[in-house]
Order: sequence, then structure tokens, then C-alpha cells
Amino acid sequence: MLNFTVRRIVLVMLVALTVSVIAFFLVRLSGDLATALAGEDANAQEIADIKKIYGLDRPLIVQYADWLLSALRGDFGASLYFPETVGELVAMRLPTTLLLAFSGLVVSLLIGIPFGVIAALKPDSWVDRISMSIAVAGQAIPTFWMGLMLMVLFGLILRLTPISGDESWQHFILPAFTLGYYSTPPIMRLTRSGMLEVLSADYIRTAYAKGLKPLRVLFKHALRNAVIPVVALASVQFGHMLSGAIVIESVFAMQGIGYLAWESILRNDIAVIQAILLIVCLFYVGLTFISDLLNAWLDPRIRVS
Amino acid sequence: MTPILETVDLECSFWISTGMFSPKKTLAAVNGVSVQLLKGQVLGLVGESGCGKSTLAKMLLGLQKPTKGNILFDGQPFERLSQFERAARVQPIFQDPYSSLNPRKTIFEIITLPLSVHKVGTSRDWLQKAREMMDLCGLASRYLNSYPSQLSGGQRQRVAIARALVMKPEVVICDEPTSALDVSVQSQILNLLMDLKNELGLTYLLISHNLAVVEHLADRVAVMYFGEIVENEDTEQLFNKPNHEYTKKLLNSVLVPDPSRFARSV
Amino acid sequence: MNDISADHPKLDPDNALRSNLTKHLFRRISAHNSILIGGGVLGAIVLMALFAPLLAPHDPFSQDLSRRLLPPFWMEDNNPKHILGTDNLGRDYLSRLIYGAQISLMIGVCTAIISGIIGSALGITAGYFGGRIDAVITFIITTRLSMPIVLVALAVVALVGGSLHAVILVLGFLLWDRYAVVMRSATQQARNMDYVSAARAIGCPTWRVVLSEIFPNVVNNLIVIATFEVAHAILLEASLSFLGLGVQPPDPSWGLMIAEGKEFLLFDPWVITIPGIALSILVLAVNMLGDGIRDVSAPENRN
Repeated sequence: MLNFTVRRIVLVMLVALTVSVIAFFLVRLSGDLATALAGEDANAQEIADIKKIYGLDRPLIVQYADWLLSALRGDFGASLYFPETVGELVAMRLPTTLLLAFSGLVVSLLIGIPFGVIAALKPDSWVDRISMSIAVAGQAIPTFWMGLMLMVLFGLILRLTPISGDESWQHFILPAFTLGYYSTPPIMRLTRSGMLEVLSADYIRTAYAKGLKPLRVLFKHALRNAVIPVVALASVQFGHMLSGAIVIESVFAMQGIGYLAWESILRNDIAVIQAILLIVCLFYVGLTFISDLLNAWLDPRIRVS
Repeated sequence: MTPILETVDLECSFWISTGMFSPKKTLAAVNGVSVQLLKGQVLGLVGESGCGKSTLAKMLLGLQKPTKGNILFDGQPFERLSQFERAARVQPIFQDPYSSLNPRKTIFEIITLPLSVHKVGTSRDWLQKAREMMDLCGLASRYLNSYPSQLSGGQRQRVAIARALVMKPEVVICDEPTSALDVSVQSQILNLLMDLKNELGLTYLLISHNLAVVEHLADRVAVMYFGEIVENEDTEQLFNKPNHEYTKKLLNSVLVPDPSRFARSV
Repeated sequence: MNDISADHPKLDPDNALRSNLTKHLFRRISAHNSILIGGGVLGAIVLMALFAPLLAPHDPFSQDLSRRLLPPFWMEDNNPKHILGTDNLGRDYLSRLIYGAQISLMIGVCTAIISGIIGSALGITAGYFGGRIDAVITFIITTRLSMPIVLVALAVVALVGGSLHAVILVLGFLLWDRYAVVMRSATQQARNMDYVSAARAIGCPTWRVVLSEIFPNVVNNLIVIATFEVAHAILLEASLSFLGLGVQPPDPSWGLMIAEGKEFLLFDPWVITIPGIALSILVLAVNMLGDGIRDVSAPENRN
């Protein structure tokens, strides 16, 4: 296990490094930073001065190294539009996104696990088929449209929830549901197959045979074992939600990093885009790493290959 | 008589990584093997699974590079021949006819693949050739456009044999040619192999764990144990007077249908 | 003692076989149904897109500001000339919807082809050669998987400028991961089959082994993934266009139509409802077709 962990850490570092290269060059190719800084109607001399001041006349590799080293210290440079530094901006906006992604995850687990368990208890029953069909059909609905429709229904017609913004916990209900809904089918499916496997295992039969109450067997013995892979999956899904937040936040006008990223892309605010791209990618890498470790801990076969 | 195919101190070892910090170890799947195949004869190769029989077969087919030693074909070093030339001389028949035939190809395509790869003749010749080979291997030519899934295990193995022989090779490596088949079909395939051998003057390396089969078909038998040949004798000699401890164990571990030998070995 | 099954009805082989057969049969039937329904709906949408110039009652681009936001047929004050009403610039909504199908289908199919070529080339190479090549390609896949698609796509589209071609290229170069992962493991399985050894023993050159022995045996997976990736790409294009960084106005992308209707959400929610339903139906049809093909080609993979 130690060996596996060390190998994985090396891999994760390499991936993170590659991703940082991509994040830097992808965005740097998108626009001329000096022109953006100097303004549209700057003359050549002004642009050249700006290049000198910000060190943009140096080779790209040097600039990249400089950027990465500062980023590691939390210094992501200055935004073109906001008075705050990029580091401060991201720190200000990140909690909203994390909260949104977390509540989305809670929603998908709250729907996915119970229905997965019920489906596993009665495989191929109507509950199983219908819950799976609804979940799968829901995948066809575009997230942003689902968000808008929920907004119309619950915010405008029924007036049960706030329409947009992120001031109170009520504001998170619709976005969290919209976001969480899309991770429900994989969680449901994994819970179902995990439960099916565990329920047919010998120790569960033994538990029943010992005369333990069925519900106790279900929760204490079966679910506990079936749920660990689901936790591993949930960690990957959390990463997807951070990325999905960009659409949801712009639909519900929530001031998270997704919204910030969108605004910054539209404004070509390079330093902000780079920072968010790097941070979200690092979250992704980290969460996948956790999921891999969990799976490897569960299934020793993975460690060897 | 000079051997048609010969190995000299053949060795093949694999690196096994046991962990990032532990030193790498080598595992010798085949370790210093020297065997000779005499023209027109059958060399039986027996041993338990994992003893290196299949690795040896792979090297003889050019599918695996030896780490040490030589393979000589008609006294010539094998590696001087291209895979093309090797293929025309040595062909395999695999154990599992369910895995050795591409399920997406027709019998015609399978049998004539060697011809098309080696660009022998035209497609009209191929049809003629395919019919000929099927006839030779006891397959009705109506299966020409069938897919392997429409054939029985025995029929599939006949297709595999037809494919192996279509280029008229001199040596055929039969890797457990009947062990995946029903008992009733096994003898038919073995008989076919022996008939073809006599008719076409083939040389066989017969790999098997079925000692009865080897005893009946092989002229000589080599016993392989942990990558090494521990005994290499005339068949009769080996079965009647095994020298090596392992060979004795191997012979004793099978139920012998011949009670007289059972009496002798006790 | 002879009849063990008498005490354990569940172990009765006949019974088990029968229930298995019923289950199997049910799956087959439901798979065929989803192919029929999904394929049928998809076929209708494809025909609609192909014959858009004949079917559309109006020019999807011609504006008429005096006829802005006319309601669709089920609401009061509708105009029978505009069955689905008009948008905020007075363009016929039905015509825009019909032409919009062209964009969604074009994006879905082209993206799936580009990403399919990239992904299967990588996956088959990794699976066939193994070793270091596999390690490098696996690393590329891992790196790709650790990049959030929407964010990267937005950034890149912003870089090259939003357009139909840009979206197709960007999504094509991003959505190859599933092909690569699946094709890699399918190839790993296929390359261990004896028919591959047989072909190599014949002297078959590597390219030919890959193309004629491996590829035909892994291509099933490709078709199934391709359908799912078509759906995925259609949804992503809609998201990008909704965020203003995909297909640009005045093209009638369904995602863009929803974005343009967003400000009228309060009083005219049908403006966003109609293209949203169209999108959902299209994606659902593609998904059903994919599910069906998967179940028919390999019923054991269902769960």
C-alpha cells in the first residue's frame, strides 16, 4: 500500500505539473497580455514599456517558471478589472463554489444511495427500473436549462425559493439540486451493484442465519461495505461539480469562482483565468488521488498492477 | 540425420518489478534449453503448466525474443531469417480454437490470410487453395463463407490446422492441440495431424500435458521442469525407464490405462 | 439424497434457467425497444435537419420587429402563421428550431468522429504495445481527465473565437478520453487472443494485425461510446453557446436560443422552454439508441 501510495504521489505531481504548463500556455496564447494591460489605444512604445515592467519581454519558459513559483506562494498576480489581487479574489469566491459543490454532492448522495439500496433489495423490480429510467432520462436535460426551469417553477410561479444570488442557504437549494442531480445515476448504479454483491456474500447470509434483524444486517453489515466505493466515486464527482459550477453559477448569478471564471474569460482577464484553471485542476487531481487510494485500499489487486 | 530445428542453450528471462524500492528480479521462464527436432519426427514436450513450454514455443515462432542462446533452422541462425521467411517454415497450432480464430472473419479469410500476407498467387488461386486445404483437413467446403462461431470445436481446430499448413511449412508447433476439445473429437484431430504429417512430411513439436497422447505420437520426449529440460529420451525409453525424479513423479501422477506398466512401476 | 434441488427450489437448474431466460429476453426486448424509439426519434430529427429548407415555414434569420415575442399555438393571442411563436427579434421560432437541429447534429457527429479517431488511436496503441508506450498514453489520459472540460473549452473557444468550427474542434480535441480508456482495455483483451499470435506467426506486419485482427473485434465499443459522445457534445455545445462562447448569433443554436430567451424568462417562459425540450428530446433519443446498442451487442455489460 505504501508503495502504491508513493507511486501515485509521483504520478499526481507529474500530472499537476503538466496541467500547470497547459493552464499557463493555453491562456497565454489566448491574448497579448501587454496589449490588454496597456489598453486598446496604446501605442507601440507604451506596450513595449508595459512589457518591460511586467517582465513580458522574457522568454516564455522563464515567465512560466516565475508564474508557477509565485503561484505556489499564493501569488497569482493582478487582475485587470478588480482592485484585489487574484489570490484575494479567488480566496473570496472559492467558499461559495465549495459550498455549492458540497451541497450538490449531498443532494446526489441523498437521492442516489437510498434508491440504489432499494433497487438492490428488489433487483429488476419496478422501483429499480423506474428509478434508473428517470435518472438516466434526466441526464438528457441540459444543466443550465434545468436550472432555469426550476427557477421559473419554484422561484417565479410557486415563490418557494429565491430566484438567484447566494446570500442565504435558501439560495443554494435550486443550484445544489441542479448540480447534484447529474451525479445521481452513477452513484445510484454503484450503490446498487455494490449492494447486490455484498448481499450475496457469505457473511451476510451468515448474519441472517444468526437471526439478526434484517434492517440491522442491511445497515450495519451490508451498506457499510457497499458504501466505500461510493465514497471514492463521490470524491471524483465532487471534482466534476467544481467544474459544473461554472454553468450553474452563471445561471443563478452566484459569486463563486465559476462565475468569476466566466466573467474573466469574457473580459480576457488572463491572470484570473490561469489561477482558476490551475486551482480547479489541482482540486481534480487531488480528488482523483483520494479516490484511487480508497479504491486501492479496498481492492488489493489494484495496488499490484 | 541433421535436426531441422534446433535450440542451443536457449534462454528467456523476464524482469519482474516487485516494488519501487526493491531491486528488480529476473525470472527465467526458459533456462538453457537445447532440443533438436529431427525431420519427419515428432518431439513431445511435456511438463506442468508454467514450466516454460509456451515461452519456448513462442520463441520458436519468432513471437518472443530469446535473451540468450540460439535457434538454428537447418543449421542456420534463426534470427537471420525475417519473420516472413520464418513464417513460411514454422507455423503454430494453438490450444484453444475458440481463441485462435478471429471471430470477425470467414473461414476463407482465415485460411487464406497467410497467402494474402505473403502475396502468394491471386485471389482466384486462393479460393482453389482454400478448398484444397479444407478438403485435406476434412472440412466440407460449404463452410468456406461461415464464421468460426458457426463451427464446432473440432471443426475450428481443423480450420486452424488448414491455416497453419497453407504455406506448406516444414515444422508445426502444436501447443496442446487437443486439450480444449471434447474427448470424442480429440482422437479425430490427432489422427488428422498424424495423417498430415505422413502425407506432407511434416515435423512436429507436440506440446502436451497429456502423457498418453505424447506416448502414442512422439518419437522422442523432452521433459521440462522449471524452465529446464530435465530429460530428453526416446519415447519408449522414457516411459519405461524414466531417469529423472521429476519424470518419475510425472508418470506416476497419471492414471495409467496399461495395467502391466502399473505393475512394473510399483 | 439424489434430488438435492427438491429442498432448495432456488437451485433447481430448470427454474433458474427459465428465470434467467425471462430476464434475458426482457433485456433483449427492452434493448430493441430503446433502439426503435431512440433510433426513430433520432431519425425524424435527422430528416428534419436535412430537409430544413423545405420544412421551415419562414426564413430563420429574417427579423420582423413588429412581430416580437408572439406566443406559441397553445397560448392566447397566437398567430397561426407562427405555430411556435416568434423570438425577441420577431424571427419565426419553429423555423429557428428546425435549423437549430442542423447545428446540434453537426456538432454531435463531427465531434464524435474527431474525438473517436484521436481516442481510439491512442487507446489501441496503448493497449496493443503496452510497456512504456502504454505508460505515456495512460499519463496523457490521466492529464486530460484532470482538466475540467467546460472551463478548458470556454478558455480555448475564447482564444480562437466562438464559431461552429471552433466548437467542433475544441470539443473534438477534449472528448476523446472515454474512447481511449475503453479501447485500451478492449485492445489489451483482444491482443492476448491466439488469433493475434497466429497472425503474427504468419508474418503479418503490425499495422495489419492492428487493423484487420484487433480493430474489427473492438469496434463494437467504438459505436456505443460514439453515440454517448454525440449526446455529450450536443449538451456541451448548448452549454457553451448558452454562456456566449459557443456558436455565435444569429445562428439558431438551441443553447443560444435559450440564452437569448433568458431575459424574457419572467413573462414569456415558453421562449426558453421550447428549445430546452427540443434539446432534451434529441439527447434522450441518442442516449436511448446508445443504451440499446450496448445491451444488444453485450447484454452482460448492462450493469
